Amino acid sequence: MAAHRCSYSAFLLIICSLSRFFVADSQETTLTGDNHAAEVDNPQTATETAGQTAEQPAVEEKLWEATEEATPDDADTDKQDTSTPETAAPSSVPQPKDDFQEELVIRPLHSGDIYTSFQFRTLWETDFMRGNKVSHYRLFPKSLGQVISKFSVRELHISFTQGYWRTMQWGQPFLPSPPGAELWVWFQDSVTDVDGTWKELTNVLSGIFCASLNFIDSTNTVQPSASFKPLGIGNVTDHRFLRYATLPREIVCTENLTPWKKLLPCGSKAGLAVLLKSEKLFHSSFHSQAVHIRPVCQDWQCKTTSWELRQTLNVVFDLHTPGQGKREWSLFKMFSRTLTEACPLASSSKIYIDITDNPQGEQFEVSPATPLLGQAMVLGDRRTFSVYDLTHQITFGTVRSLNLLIRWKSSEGDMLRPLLHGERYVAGYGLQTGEIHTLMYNNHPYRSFPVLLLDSVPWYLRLYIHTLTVASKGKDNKPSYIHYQPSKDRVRPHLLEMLVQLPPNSVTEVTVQFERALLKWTEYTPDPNHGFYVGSSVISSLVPSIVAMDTNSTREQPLFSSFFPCKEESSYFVRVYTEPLLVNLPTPDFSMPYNVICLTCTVVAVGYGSLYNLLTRSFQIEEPSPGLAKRIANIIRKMRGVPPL
Amino acid sequence: MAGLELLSDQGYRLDGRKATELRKVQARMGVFAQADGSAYLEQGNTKALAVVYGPHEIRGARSRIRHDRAVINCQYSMATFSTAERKRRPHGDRKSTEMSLHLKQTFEAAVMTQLYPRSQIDIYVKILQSDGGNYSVCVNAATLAVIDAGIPMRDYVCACTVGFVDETPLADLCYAEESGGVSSLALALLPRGGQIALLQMDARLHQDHLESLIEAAMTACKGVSKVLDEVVDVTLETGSSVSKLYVTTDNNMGLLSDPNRRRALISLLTRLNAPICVVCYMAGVAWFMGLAFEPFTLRTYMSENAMGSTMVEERFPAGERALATGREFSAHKKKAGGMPVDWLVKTMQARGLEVFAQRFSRTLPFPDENKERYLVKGTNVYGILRAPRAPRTEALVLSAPCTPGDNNNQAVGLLLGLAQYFRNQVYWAKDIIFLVNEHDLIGMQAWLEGYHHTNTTGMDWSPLQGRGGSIQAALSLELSSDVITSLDLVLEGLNGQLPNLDLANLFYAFCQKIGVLCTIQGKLQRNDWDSVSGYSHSVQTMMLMVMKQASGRPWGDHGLFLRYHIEAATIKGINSFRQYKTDTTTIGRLLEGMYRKLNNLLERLHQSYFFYLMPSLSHFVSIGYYMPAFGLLAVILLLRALDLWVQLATPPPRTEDGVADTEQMSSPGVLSVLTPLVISHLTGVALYMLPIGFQEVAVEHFPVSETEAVVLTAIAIYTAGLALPHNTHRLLSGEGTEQGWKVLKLVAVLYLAVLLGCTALINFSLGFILALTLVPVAAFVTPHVPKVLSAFILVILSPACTLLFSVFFFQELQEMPVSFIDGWMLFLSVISQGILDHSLYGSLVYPLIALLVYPCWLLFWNILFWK
Repeated sequence: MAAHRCSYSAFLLIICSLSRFFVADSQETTLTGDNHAAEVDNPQTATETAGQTAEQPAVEEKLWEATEEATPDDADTDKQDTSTPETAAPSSVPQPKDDFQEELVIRPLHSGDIYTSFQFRTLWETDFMRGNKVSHYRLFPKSLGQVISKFSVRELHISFTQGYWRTMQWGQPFLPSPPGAELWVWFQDSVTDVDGTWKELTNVLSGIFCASLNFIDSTNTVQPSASFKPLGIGNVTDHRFLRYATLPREIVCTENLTPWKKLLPCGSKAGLAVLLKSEKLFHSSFHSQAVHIRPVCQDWQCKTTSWELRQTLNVVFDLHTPGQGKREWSLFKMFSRTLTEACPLASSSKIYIDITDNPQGEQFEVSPATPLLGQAMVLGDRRTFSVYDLTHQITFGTVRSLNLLIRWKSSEGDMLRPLLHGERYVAGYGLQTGEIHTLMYNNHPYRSFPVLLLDSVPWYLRLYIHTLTVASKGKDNKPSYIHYQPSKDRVRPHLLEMLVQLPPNSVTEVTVQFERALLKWTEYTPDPNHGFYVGSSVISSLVPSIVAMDTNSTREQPLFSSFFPCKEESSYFVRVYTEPLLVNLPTPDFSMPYNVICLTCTVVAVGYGSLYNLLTRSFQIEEPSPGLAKRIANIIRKMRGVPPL
Repeated sequence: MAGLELLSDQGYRLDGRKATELRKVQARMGVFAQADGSAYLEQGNTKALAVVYGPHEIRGARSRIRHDRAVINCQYSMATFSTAERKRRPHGDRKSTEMSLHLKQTFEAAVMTQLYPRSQIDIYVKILQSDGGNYSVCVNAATLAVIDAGIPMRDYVCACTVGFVDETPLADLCYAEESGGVSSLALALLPRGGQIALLQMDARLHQDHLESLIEAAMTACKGVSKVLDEVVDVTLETGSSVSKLYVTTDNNMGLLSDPNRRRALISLLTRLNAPICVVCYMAGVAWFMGLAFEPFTLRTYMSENAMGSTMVEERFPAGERALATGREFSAHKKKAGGMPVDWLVKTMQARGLEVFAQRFSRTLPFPDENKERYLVKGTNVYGILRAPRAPRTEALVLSAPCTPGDNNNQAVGLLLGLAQYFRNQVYWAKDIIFLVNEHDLIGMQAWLEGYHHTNTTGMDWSPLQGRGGSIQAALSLELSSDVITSLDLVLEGLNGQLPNLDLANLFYAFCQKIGVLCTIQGKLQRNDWDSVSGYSHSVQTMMLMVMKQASGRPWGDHGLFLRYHIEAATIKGINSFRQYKTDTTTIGRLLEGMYRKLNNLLERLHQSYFFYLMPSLSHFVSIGYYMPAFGLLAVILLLRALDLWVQLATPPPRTEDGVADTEQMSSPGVLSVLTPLVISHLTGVALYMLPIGFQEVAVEHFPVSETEAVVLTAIAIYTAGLALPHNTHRLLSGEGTEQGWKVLKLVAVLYLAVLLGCTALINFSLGFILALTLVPVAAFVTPHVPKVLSAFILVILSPACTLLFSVFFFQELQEMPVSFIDGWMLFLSVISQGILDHSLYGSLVYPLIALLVYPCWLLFWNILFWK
């Protein structure tokens, strides 16, 4: 969706601008091009138009300002450079056709956990779709490039997640993803057999990522009509070319991480990727890795497009892991590695630490300290970051290795409640019917906003759509848009999409009853008593910004700029995934007693039948009925008085 | 025509036959055992042997396969000694080949080859002695062989050779005639339809004669066919080769369909009805008592592989700290005068859990016996340990009730201690919910209803904020002292539901491993099963389980989980005066071990038994073993019903009275049955509705409390029911008839049988106890037994008295005998508790007794006083 991309690009812009100011290379065009990309994409609804502008505040991001005790070092000179506005820096340097950037964001969470997010971006100005085959690959992974050209993919988003993002404790993630695997793909409108291509594509991706994506078939694929819009350029929104599927059961582990790391230009040899050691990454509360491919504008007027490959990896480390007596984190503690260099192929390589809630260092202390600060609008909130640029030798200090240390001082301070979150559960008992409850919380004190709810339910839960109720604050809340596609047994799932207005400070409950189908006995999984998964429902929304709620926001801005709540800041795009469900279906007892019951019943039935026959029947010889001629002859003989034949 | 005179003037041929006379034909079938069919045929001096193999799969060239029919393969040969001059080669010469071909054509026309597609039939014919007419002899012999092989043919194929001499056709030529220059004609015929299968003629013949020649040949063939037919008949009769299906034709009917036998059987059943019933009853009781005998029971074993052999080391260290937390909890509880919600929330949050609280309130229909409360208000506090990298789909529950007074503080302390320890572990795959519920079962009911968003009993609760997916298993903890001597496992849940036996096995396995004394029903396990005291010990244990299960109430906080298909049990710490002491750390380790195993579960517990009785923790009785005990009791009802049915069906032998009876029976039939049924059920409805409905009226008019009012109303209605219905039929139909009560009893007996059967399937213990008392009643009651004595027995065996005795018996089993007055008070409280359980948790025992069992018993009461 366009608005979604806004949040991306808002963040992306920060990266770009950072590189611009520090490296002073010609990222300008990329930046503005990206910005423009948002504008050319004309969204469908009014809400999206509102969201589309969300990246605007990011454009006017705060420039670098040194901390008070900024020491005169090399960075200072950089700072001097950057303080001069270079808005329209003409790009005289010849552009490389492809470009790689890497960054790591560390956000200490209020729960004491720590959220680390890696992003690797490869840009390549090429056209996979043109007739001539692209054969020379430099930074862009060849395996994905071939997939794009072979299957005419316009956009591809794939994520593998182990664990559930705890919105209420951790706030919103930079990139949301549901537990298990999620895949959504926009195909070019030149594709004729979308389903066939989709099937092939899932199989190929299954091979590339060592995942069970080949289990994606028509029974778990849907075509959402509104929830997933293209994030890149192009305005084809015909959802015939969109396929969306989730595999909530997918387990993500090292075998998925290794092929993911291989897609990076530096592999896991240099740069930030050296931190990606699986023994630590999978020793966490949450692990999510994703690949996003989309076309983006290359220049200001979007004359040329380039392909963007964005690999992200999000990990939340748990405060309560063993051996965590002292409340402190370091790169070494988290990843059992320290950083010594940036990836030589990367044009930018940075580490950000979110210090928004810690302006005076009262909550935690970061060492080594950095004089560089950055600000950005992230998910409607203005965040401040300490920045470490790995391309500068000075960052590594005298020991030639960077081991960031975060030491907690106090655990006070409350997190701002996320404005939107959702949860889902199955109500009722017994194995015949049930009810799916989806709760959507709007925690905004005075603003209501619309959300799009997408539910894809497997066919073996037979939804009674007439029981669908949407209620908030005890009153019926009529959705303004409902798109429902009923399931077909063993062919396709239910698809339910709704546009619901969430009143301020309320819980909206969507309930629908279902009946549990009795499967054929070969359709049960090998562990039928485990239950059957129903994928997460997706809540997409434009959420009013927190900045508008912030009374102190005038503090950092000139007064003239801040009287009216700035429209551009007023909402941002959020996608929230609910928990997947585990539903028990009526299951025959496949264990030994079941077989015994079957066998004994058969034996008893056979034995009883024959015994009953013996007891109640008498046996006689059936006289074969004489033929017609013989019967006629006998009648005649009878009339003649002669004994019959 | 020189040389021999083939036909004399007298019309005789060389060998003295007439022109149309055949040679003597002799044949045998089935001469070889190995072949599928074989025949030997002599025609005069020509002797041939034919053998048939098949139909079988095609051998050799696959190209010969015909997909619509069988291929016939013929081979003709002559023995070297068959002719006057010794032959060089027995087969393969021109003549033989030609003859083979002819045979093949003949049989292709006759055999129903389309029945055997893609197969082959081999016919081998050998001439042993040749004296003319070789072809026809071969055909005849082969026909017999094919018949012998059981291959269907359109008809016999009979062949004959005829010649034409002097304007006269000669039938069945011999060698001399054949070689004498007669123009011969061979003809194979399907005699019944008169079709010609093959006609062959080598010599020249005038066209005019052909007609007569063929005519003669056909006549001859028909003659041959007659002979062959006889041969076949003879063969069949002697039964040499063809097996015949003999069907017994005796006049024996089936055992039940034969009226005589049926009568005998029925008279046996009616005559011996009483003894059989007594024997069945004895056998049923004996079987049941035998269940507790250890050699008859099965040893428990862990069925679930995921919980099986993986050994982990339990490391929970913080028993002392848990006790300290428990003391702190107790202090805060005293200060708050109930659940210390804020303290608990803070403590749990400090341990890194997601903490939520749920408020609930419940209006009781009447104040319960010992607590005197109408409105129950409380708060449940629960914390969720989120498993790392788990998608919130599965959860385990550990609960400890917050009871008023000094009880269970240690349980809450241990729960918090475990929460802290568990939080720091990384191996959890399922969320763990630590629940402290107020007001025991009511709080648990509120929490479970909130968690599953159901409302079965009209309780008010605030919705839950946090969930952990579907709950896989739950344990409820009750600890009231710092040091305990043994742990008691409580399994019985609402309506007699039991958790999967694997949960009990898990508990037992860990008690064994860690070395904690464990009991069930408060009874330690004993090893001396062969001694009387050992046996009686296990009987007591099992009887306690039966009693508890029959009561249908949840015997611990776990009992309410079972409705939601969550396996749950309560673990109670017992501190008696035994020497053996266990500290809290050990119990913590035990729980740690159990939760780690439950955490390993891939599926819900489903492998082991759901229906069982436990005479000790290490032994169990599965449903297959205990059901026969009930079946033996239930069969009595069926036997009695059969007896009554027979009695009703056969009018009594008295001539005039009998006629009168049957006439009367037909008119009041329906009403005389229906009225008591309706009245007794209305009484049942009154018993179900009135006690709660009329409590206010009762309290106004009598000096009793609400609870007493309810119980006493119930008893009053119960007693009034005895006086009410037993004379009603007289108002409607005048004199009660003999047939009338029999019909009523038949209905009542069958009703009881269905009722008990259904009850026993759901809750075996309840069904069995009811059967134990009600079946004798149903069996012996008639209007003709002595009234006073029978009425006494009937009252003694009524459901209420059964309950009263059960109360005493239960106390006796628990080694806490009570005096009669105390027992009576206990009885009253049990009634009130039963009614409360029904309205609070949906226990079904009270409505079952009031609406179904009691009315059924009233029917028998009615029969006793039938006039």
